[in-house]
Amino acid sequence: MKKWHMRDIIDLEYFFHLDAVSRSAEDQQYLNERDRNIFLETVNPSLQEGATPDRKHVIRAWLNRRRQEETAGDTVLPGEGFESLYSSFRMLFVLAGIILGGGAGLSFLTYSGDRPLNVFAYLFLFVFSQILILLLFFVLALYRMRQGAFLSSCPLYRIIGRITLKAVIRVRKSIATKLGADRRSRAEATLGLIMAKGSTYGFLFILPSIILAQLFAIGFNLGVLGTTLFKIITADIAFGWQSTLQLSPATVNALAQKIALPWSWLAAFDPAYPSLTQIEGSRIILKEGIYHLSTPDLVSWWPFLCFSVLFYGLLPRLLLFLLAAAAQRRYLSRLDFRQGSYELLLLRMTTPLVTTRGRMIDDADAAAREPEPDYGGRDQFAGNAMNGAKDVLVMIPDDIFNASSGEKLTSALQNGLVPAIQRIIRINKDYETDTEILADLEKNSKVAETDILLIQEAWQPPIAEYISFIRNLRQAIGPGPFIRIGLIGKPRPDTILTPVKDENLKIWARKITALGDPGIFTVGLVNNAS
Amino acid sequence: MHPDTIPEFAIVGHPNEGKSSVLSTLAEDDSVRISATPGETLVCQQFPVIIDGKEIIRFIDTPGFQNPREILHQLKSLAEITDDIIGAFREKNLSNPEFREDCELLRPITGGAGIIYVVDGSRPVRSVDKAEMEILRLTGLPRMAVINSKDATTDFLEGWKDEFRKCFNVFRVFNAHTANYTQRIELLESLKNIDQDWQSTLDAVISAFKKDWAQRNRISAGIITEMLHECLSYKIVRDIGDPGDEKQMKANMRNVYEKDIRKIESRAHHKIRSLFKHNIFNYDLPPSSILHEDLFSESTWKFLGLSRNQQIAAAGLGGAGIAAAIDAATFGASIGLFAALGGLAGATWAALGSKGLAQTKVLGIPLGGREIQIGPVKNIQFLYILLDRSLIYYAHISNWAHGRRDYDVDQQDPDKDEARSGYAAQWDSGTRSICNSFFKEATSSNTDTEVQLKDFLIEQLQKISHSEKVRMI
Repeated sequence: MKKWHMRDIIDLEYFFHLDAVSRSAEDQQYLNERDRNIFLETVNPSLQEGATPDRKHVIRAWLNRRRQEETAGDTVLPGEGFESLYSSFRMLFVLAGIILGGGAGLSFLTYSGDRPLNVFAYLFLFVFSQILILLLFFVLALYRMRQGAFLSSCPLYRIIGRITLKAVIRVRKSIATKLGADRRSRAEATLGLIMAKGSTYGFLFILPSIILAQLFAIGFNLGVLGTTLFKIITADIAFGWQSTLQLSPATVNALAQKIALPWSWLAAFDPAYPSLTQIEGSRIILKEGIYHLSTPDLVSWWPFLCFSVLFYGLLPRLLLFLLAAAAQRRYLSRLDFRQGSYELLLLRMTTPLVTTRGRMIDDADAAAREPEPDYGGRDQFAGNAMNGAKDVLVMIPDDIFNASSGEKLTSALQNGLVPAIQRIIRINKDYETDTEILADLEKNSKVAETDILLIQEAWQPPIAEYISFIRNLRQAIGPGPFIRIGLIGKPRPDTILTPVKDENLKIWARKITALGDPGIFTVGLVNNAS
Repeated sequence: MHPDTIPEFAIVGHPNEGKSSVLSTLAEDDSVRISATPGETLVCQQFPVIIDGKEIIRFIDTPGFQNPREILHQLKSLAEITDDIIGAFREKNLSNPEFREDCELLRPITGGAGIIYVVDGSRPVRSVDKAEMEILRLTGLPRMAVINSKDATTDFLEGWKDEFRKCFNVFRVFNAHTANYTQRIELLESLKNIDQDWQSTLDAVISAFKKDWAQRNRISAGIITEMLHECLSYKIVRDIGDPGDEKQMKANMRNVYEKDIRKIESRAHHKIRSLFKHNIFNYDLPPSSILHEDLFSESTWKFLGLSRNQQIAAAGLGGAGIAAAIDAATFGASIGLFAALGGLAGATWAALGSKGLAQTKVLGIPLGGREIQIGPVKNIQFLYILLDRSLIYYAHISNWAHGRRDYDVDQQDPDKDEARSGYAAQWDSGTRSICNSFFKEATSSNTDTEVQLKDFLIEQLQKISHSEKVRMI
């Protein structure tokens, strides 16, 4: 199977975003038809009767077809845009590293001949500083792993997150009052979308910046190493050491020995570090001048310095680069495409299109004789071959769960809207009862195995109370189950199952997207057609 | 409430029920931001009623309830420890962002404001609404409920009324999209009933509102009369340079003449518009209004002004030659003639009668040159058409609720109705004789007829203001 790349993920998300922008009932119908057709044309012909199509294969087929459709003309998809930008960035970062490293090396190694270059300064500048940065990186990485949450504790993400948060708070305070409600909810939805992607893809979207950092460091070390060697070959450079700390040559020798540990065991690198005599011979004492120092001792340092840069600068960075690249590959190959948007896409693709007209939707008796009515929500629940056929816990607000409408609603739900109702809970009676319901759910471990369908009248504005109930519900049941907000329209005397107005559908969809939870989404329960 | 403090009325309710629309209409302020997306209002906004520089009462627009059931829950437990439950609730939750809007909306209530609870009567009552009503009941403040139906559904009205009876002193229907002057006054009248202490203040407000309205009508009548005077006496005179150009020149002058008249009319209309504090509405009128027709268009002359028989009578009463009247009535109003002359002099000009709206005179030769004069208008129908257009314009402007922002819906199409759509055709002979005299004297400076017409117009404008349903034509 073809490998997944970052550009694929970006394009997929882009297409999902395009689909999500328009959420009217007609658009939903269009999406259902388009995706079902893609499935029938691309996946179905090669599928054996009764076989379950491979999730990744189906998504790949969809992506390919959507790319063909969208790239007519000169359109560049964001995935491709990212890829080309990223590859030129990689080159640029290596080059910038080489130039900066080379430049730093050249300017340091300028030797006038009156005083040898200080070995310690070289080590501090090009070796110890790098070790320090590496240590810092590892400490942070360890801390992150201990925290368990990859993204929320990643320093980079935290900085970005904090800035965003501050901006949002500021926006809320000053601009929010001036911005229209429509634009405000749009901005909130976008913010939520970004947050949702963060939790969906873990640190996949952080890796490119880690890789770029390594490439820069590799370039830098190559630059330093290159110029050092170049200077050594083309100029007569003397290295000496000096320190106000009155270090004895033996101490310096021991230090050099310790630094050289990584390569001293290799015969090829012998001598791994300058000997005690060479160290004594290259000691600079200002009042004595340098004329008594012997040339062999003064040049004995350069292999040690080059090895230091190689082993403490270049090789760790190379290793990190390879690790990050491997992590990226591993991440991409292990993506399971089980998040909300993918689920919806697969359901659209694998669910046969059913269209019927001319039947009252609450006419339960007719269900046995006639084709099923066109519930918009149905396709969200069908196609369970790939969805693991979870039971559904249905939550119905007290307002619409009175004797007559509650019964009709239940029978409509059982007549095909929801495959297997585990149980029905009556919610929104009052604050106390809702709190109790959530507490019960939290205690009940079985809830994690069911999905939730929360019926909601979409003509009611999504006030804070409703949204915080959904948020608390998620907390109570844990991250696993999907929470579908099944939206219905204004009740008619004969039924409460009426289609939702487009503007209400949009208002709710935005509010729910702003929650930033990919497992919570809105569904119009009744299509206009019915 | 302290007797010296200014009475405040907080408009509260669920989000997106039309609180801001109600206020916008009540306060005649179309700058209030209104949106179909819930949560447009985030902070309280004051709308003071200032009479002679003194603030008399104050309306306060508030954000919608966000957590009614939880507020109720908290209020109930707070009731065990304090009497000022609303104050205690705000203090407790002021720093909680979840309750930001709720605390904001309760702010005027802690100050003892009267409550106007707005609901959308076209939807059913829900438990959140009951919680809100209970919260308002617990405040113990004078309160009134207003049913502002967003659409025509009436199935749920009884349900609302049943609930209101439990929690409110007074309730009434007030549609923010259609309410006119009369209904605004009625709403204020009912507000008097929620607390006796406020009666005298509200009486003063209502009386000031009524006086203000009457004043606006007087000024409008003045504007209209002045405009009529200017239009009816308007003429333009030009030298004829080359005699060969006479025909072309006449045509050009007619265009200029029409354009000038239109300008005079629209200037007057704009003055009326700003009198009624409309900034957004009617920049232009409802799309299907007959006022969109040009002043000189065929359909304007077909549907407005007097009928054919009335025109003949008017001409007779006015003392003009009967022949001219028949001429204007039979030929001028005949569609066949419009068509026949259409190609020659332009359909609009032809619509004004076989001799044209205004006489075109070729004057003497004072200094070796000749002059052409157009105007003043000699067709009395023109007066009635200008009057009709002004009154229709007034009806639109004075009755368009400030809270209504859908400028493009449901106006009736005048073409469907073959009868005359204006007001003039319904006037009695006494009224018409006032108009006729005014027409006759238009070019003179007789102020008597002008005063008569103005008085009649004031009466007419009052009538339009008080009519139950105004014809939007």
